[in-house]
Amino acid sequence: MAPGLQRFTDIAGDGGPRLDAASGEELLRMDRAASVALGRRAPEPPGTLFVTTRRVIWLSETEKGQGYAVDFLAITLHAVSRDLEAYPSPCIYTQIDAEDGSDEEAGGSDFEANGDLQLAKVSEMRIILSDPGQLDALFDVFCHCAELNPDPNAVRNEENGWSGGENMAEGGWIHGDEDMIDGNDLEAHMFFTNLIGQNGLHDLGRSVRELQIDDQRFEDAEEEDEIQENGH
Amino acid sequence: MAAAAAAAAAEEEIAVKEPLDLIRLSLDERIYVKLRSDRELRGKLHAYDQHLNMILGDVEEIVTTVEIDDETYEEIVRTTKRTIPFLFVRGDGVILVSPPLRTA
Repeated sequence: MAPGLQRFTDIAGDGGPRLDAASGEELLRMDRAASVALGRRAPEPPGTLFVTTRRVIWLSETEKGQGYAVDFLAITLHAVSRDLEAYPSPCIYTQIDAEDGSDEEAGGSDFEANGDLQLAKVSEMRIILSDPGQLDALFDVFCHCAELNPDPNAVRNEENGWSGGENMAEGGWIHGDEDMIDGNDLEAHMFFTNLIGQNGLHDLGRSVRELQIDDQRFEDAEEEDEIQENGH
Repeated sequence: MAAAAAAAAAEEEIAVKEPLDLIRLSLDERIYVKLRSDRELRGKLHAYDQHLNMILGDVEEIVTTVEIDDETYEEIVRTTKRTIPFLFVRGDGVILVSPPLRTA
């Protein structure tokens, strides 16, 4: 299937869309008297909206057997739009992966050429319900379906995330190669060996205890300024 | 020579995948650490974990305080220095870690 917005004509006997039941597609929600607005065009005359576990399908009431469909994998963003300055009707605003066509967009022809609709170039779609009070429920269904269709490319980003360091054993220390040779070699080595293999809070607790036991060490610090500390 | 340079560059690329790798490259080097409460440390990095808890050796600690003179109401900035042979630094106080400058 081509990505992005497509024309939909696969109508079942009951007037609804024929779903791909073989691969587990299920209908989750249906809204009658719903409109869709593609890009900057005016809204289509009301039709019926179907949300399945895989895609959003809209069927026209005025042109029987005609409609649009877009996979959730191609919907990159969805939100509830209530600001009437941004758009004159409350609606669900979506962004769709579209064919590259920025030159045509700059030309202002949008996705119409010679009067024909180039659906593959549509990058924005708004869904206007007859009852704006239902927008939140529809938004929740969109969120649920987005989770059912995770982006295959996103997995790679997670592996390289900030917190997922491959070199960092959980709670583990990473230490240098050279031995920590300080004033007291024996104590330093004893302290160092305790670090290896320790994990998590236990490691911190023991480290703090070690420091407390060796508290005398800090009394030997040289004061380079006569002014005393303020007890930080 | 070119092969050695390419190998070094490749190693550099492999070594740095995420920010904490820059800390790993500072192991056994002297680093500058800025802490909360106007404290600064310079010391040799012996060990660290992902919380930026650190073991530092041969540490110079600088504490900066500001006092108000009772008579003139003038601000007086004092720095107190001390040296500590061996120091555990708790990561939640770390503001900044500056690795040593690397020479090619």
